[in-house]
Amino acid sequence: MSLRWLQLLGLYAAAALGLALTLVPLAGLSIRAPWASTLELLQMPSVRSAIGLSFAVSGAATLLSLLLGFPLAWLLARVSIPGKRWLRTLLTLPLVLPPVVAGVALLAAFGRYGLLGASLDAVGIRLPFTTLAAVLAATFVSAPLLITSLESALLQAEVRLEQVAASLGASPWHSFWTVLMPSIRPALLAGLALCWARALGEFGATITFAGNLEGRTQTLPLAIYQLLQSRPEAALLLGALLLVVSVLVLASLRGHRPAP
Amino acid sequence: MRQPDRAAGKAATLLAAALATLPLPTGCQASSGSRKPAIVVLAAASLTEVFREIGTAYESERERPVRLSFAGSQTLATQLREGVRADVVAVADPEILADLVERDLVARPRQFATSRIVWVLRRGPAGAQRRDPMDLAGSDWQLVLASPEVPAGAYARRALDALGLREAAEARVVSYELDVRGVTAKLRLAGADLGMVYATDVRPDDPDLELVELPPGVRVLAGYGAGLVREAAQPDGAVAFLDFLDGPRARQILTRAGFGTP
Amino acid sequence: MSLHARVQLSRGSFELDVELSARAGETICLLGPNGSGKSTLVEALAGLLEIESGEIVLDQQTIESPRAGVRLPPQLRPFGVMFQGLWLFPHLSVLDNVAFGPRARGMSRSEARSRAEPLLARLDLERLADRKPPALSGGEAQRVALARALAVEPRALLLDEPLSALDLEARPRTRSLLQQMLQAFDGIRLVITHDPLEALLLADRLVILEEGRILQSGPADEVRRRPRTPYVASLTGVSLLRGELRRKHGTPCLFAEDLELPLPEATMVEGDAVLATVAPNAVELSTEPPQHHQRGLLAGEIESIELAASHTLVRLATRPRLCAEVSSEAVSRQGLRPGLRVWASVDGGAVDIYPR
Repeated sequence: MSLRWLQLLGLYAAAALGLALTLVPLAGLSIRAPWASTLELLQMPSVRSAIGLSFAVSGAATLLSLLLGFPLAWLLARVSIPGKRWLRTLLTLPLVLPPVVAGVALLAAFGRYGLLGASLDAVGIRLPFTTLAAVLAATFVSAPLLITSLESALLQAEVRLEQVAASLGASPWHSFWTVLMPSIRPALLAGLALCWARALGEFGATITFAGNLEGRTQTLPLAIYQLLQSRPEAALLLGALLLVVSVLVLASLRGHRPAP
Repeated sequence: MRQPDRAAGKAATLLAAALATLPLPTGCQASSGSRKPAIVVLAAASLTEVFREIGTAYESERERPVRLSFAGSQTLATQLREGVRADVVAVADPEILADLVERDLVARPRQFATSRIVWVLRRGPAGAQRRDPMDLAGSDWQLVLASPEVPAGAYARRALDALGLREAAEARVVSYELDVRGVTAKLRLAGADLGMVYATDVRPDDPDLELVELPPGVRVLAGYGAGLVREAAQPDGAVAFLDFLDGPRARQILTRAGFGTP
Repeated sequence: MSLHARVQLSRGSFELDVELSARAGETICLLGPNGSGKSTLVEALAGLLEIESGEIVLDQQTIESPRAGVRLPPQLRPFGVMFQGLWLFPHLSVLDNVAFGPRARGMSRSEARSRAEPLLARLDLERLADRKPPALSGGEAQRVALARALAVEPRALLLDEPLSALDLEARPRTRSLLQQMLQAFDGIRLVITHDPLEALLLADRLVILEEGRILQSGPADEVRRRPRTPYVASLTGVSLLRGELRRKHGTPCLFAEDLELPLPEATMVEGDAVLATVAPNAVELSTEPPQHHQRGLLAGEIESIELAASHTLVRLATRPRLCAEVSSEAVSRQGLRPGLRVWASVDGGAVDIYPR
C-alpha cells in the first residue's frame, strides 16, 4: 500500500469524522422530533410569540451589527490608526467569551449597578429584562462575525477602482454603491448570514442579561430550554423546526453569489 | 483607594453567581492519590454549596472521590431520561423523584432535607426604610421568579396563591429563570428588586441580598429527595453515599446551611 | 485652452517637483524610467494625491492651490484619466463601463448609454458592448478604458502608460488608433510612458522626468537630437559627452573627463561649456592601442554586449561612458567579452556639439 494512498485514506477518514460530528446530532434531532405535532405546537401562543420574537430580535441584532460594524470594519481596513492590532483583537473577543460571561459583561456595563447603569437609570432607562437587552446581547456576540468578514472584504476590494470612479465624476456615495458594494457583496451577505445565525441561536448572554419572559425576552432557544423541562418532545420538535428554518435562510443567502 | 477593590470583589462574586446558574458539571476535587472510581452525583442547583461541603466531607471520610454536577431539577431528570451516566441523583421536588422511580430510572428514593420558600430582596442603601414584599401589588418593582416548570417556580406559585398575590406578582415578573439560582443572580446583577427562593439559597450575612420570611400561617416546604440511579456504574459507592447523606455528619452540614432534616 | 501645473509633493523619501504647461491641440509625452514619478504626477493631477505646494490651473480655473486653500476633489476635476493597468469595472458591461462617467455626473441611464454608444462605434467596440471586462483581450480593454475616459467629455486627457497592457504584437495597431483618437481630441493631451519609441511617435512635445524632476523638455525632435542627460541620450542609443572646448597645440579639442577629442576646424568659442553626442557607429574598438592621432582615444573595460539582429552594441566603462556599434563578426574575431580591456577611438568629425 503506497504512502500516498494511506494519506488519502487518512484525509477521507478525518473528513468523514468531521462530517459525522455535525450530521449525526442533527440527524438524531430530526429523527426524534415528533413532526406530526408540528401544527399543534405552532398553535401554542408561547411558541408563536417565541418564534416572532426570535426573528425580530435576530433581525434587529443583524441590522444593528451592520450599522455599528460597517464603520468599524471600514476603520480597520481603510484608515491608518495606531493600535489597530489591539483594536482588532478586542473586537473579536466576544467570539471567544463564554456567552454567559458576555451576559455578565453586559450587566456590568448596562445593568442597574453597572458602569453606565446609574446614568441610564437617572434618565429612566433600564435595559435588563427588556427586548432591547435581548437585541444587545445578540448583537454583542454576533457582530464580530460580520465585522471580520466585512473587514477582509474591504481589504481585498481595490481602492484604485474607487479612485477611477472618482476621476470619472462619481461622488464617494455614488462610488460606494456602484463600485465598492458589488465587489464586497458576497462577503457582506455571508457575514450577514453568519451574524444572523449566531444571533438566532443566542442563549447564554440573553438569559443572563435580558432574562426569560414570554413575549418580551423569551426567544426560541430560551423557549426550547424551558420546554425541555416540561415537554421534552415538543422541545425537540421546536429545535428541529429552528434547524429547518435556519438551513433554508442560509441556503438562500449562499445562493446569492454573483455569477462569475 | 478602597473603591476599586470593592468593585473588583463585587464583580467577582457577581460572575461566580452567574456561573453557578450554568447547567454544567462543576466537579468537586477528587482527593489526591485515590485510585477508586468517582461517584457521580447529579444535584439540584439549590444544593450547590451544601453538596460541595457534603462531597468534601464524604471524600475525606471514605477516601473515595465524588464528582458533582448541578442543574435545575427538571434538567437533571431530562439528563437521566436521555441516559446520562450517574450514580446518585438529588432533586428539589418529590414529584420529580417519584416520576423517575416510576420510570424505573431511580431506586431507593428518600427525602433527606427540606427548605422553605421565602422572599428575597435587594438590600437598600443604609438607613433606607426596608421594603415590605407584601406591598408588591402597589409597587413598580421588578420581580423575578423561577420558571413554573422547575420546583422552586412551582413552590413560589403555590406561595403566591396562598398569599393572594399571584395576579399582582405575575404582572410584575420580568424574568422566569430556568433554575432557582438564576433568581438570586438577577437580583445581584441585573437590578431586579424582589424574588422568591429557598431560604437556603442566600446566606444570612449576604451583603447584597436579604431574606424575608412569608407571613405566619403561609408555609411552603420544598422536599429534597435523593435516590440511586438504576444504571449506576458504582452502585455500592452510590448506596454508601446515600447512607452518608442520611447520617449525622451530612445532617449537621445541612442543618448549618439552614435546611430542615427529617 | 491651457493647463499649468506646478506640483511639489513628497512620498516617503521620494520627492516630486515638476512644472508643466500644456496647450490644447498638442500631445505632450512625459517620458521617464520606472520610479521617476510619472504615475505620482498623474495621481496628483487627478486629485488622488494632495500637492504640498504649487498649483494646478486649467485656463483661468484654479483646480488646486495649497496657498489659496483650493482643492477640487477628484470627481469635480475636468480630466479624463486612463490609469496604468486600465482598471475597468469588472462587474459592469463594456457599455456600462463607458457610460459610468456620464451616469456618475447625473445623466439618466439611457442618456448615459446614448452618450457611450457613439464612442463604442468609433473605437470598434460595438459588438463587445455586453461583454464583461474579464472576457476582453488586452487591446479591447485598452480601447474600453480610452472610451471611458473620453465619455466624460474632459477638457484634458491624462493617459498613464496607455499601451503597456498590450503584448508587443498588438501595439502597432492600437498605437495608431490611439494616435487617431488623440488627433481628434481637441483638449489638452498628456501621455505618460516609459517607452521612448512610443513617446517619439505620439509626442508633439517631450518632457523627460527623472527622479521626480524634469530634466529636459521641448519639441520631440529637438529633445531626441540634443539630449541633455545620459538617460535621454540612451533612449536613442547615442553617447553623451559633457565637456569644454579648448585649443591644444592650435587644434580645437573637446575635453570631457579623460577624453581629449581633436575636432575639425569650426566655428567655436574658446572655453565654451558644451554637450556633445557621439553616434555608436562613430566609435571604433580595438584590442591594441591604435596609432592614428586624428581621433580621440579612451581605454576601458567592456561593461556589456547587446546583440541585435543587424549589429552589436558594446557599452564601455570609460570616462565618459561610450557606446560603440560593431559588426557581429567583429565580436568573435576580436574576442570581445565583458571585462576585456579595449581602446575606443572617436571620430571628431562625427560628433554633434551644442551649448550646455
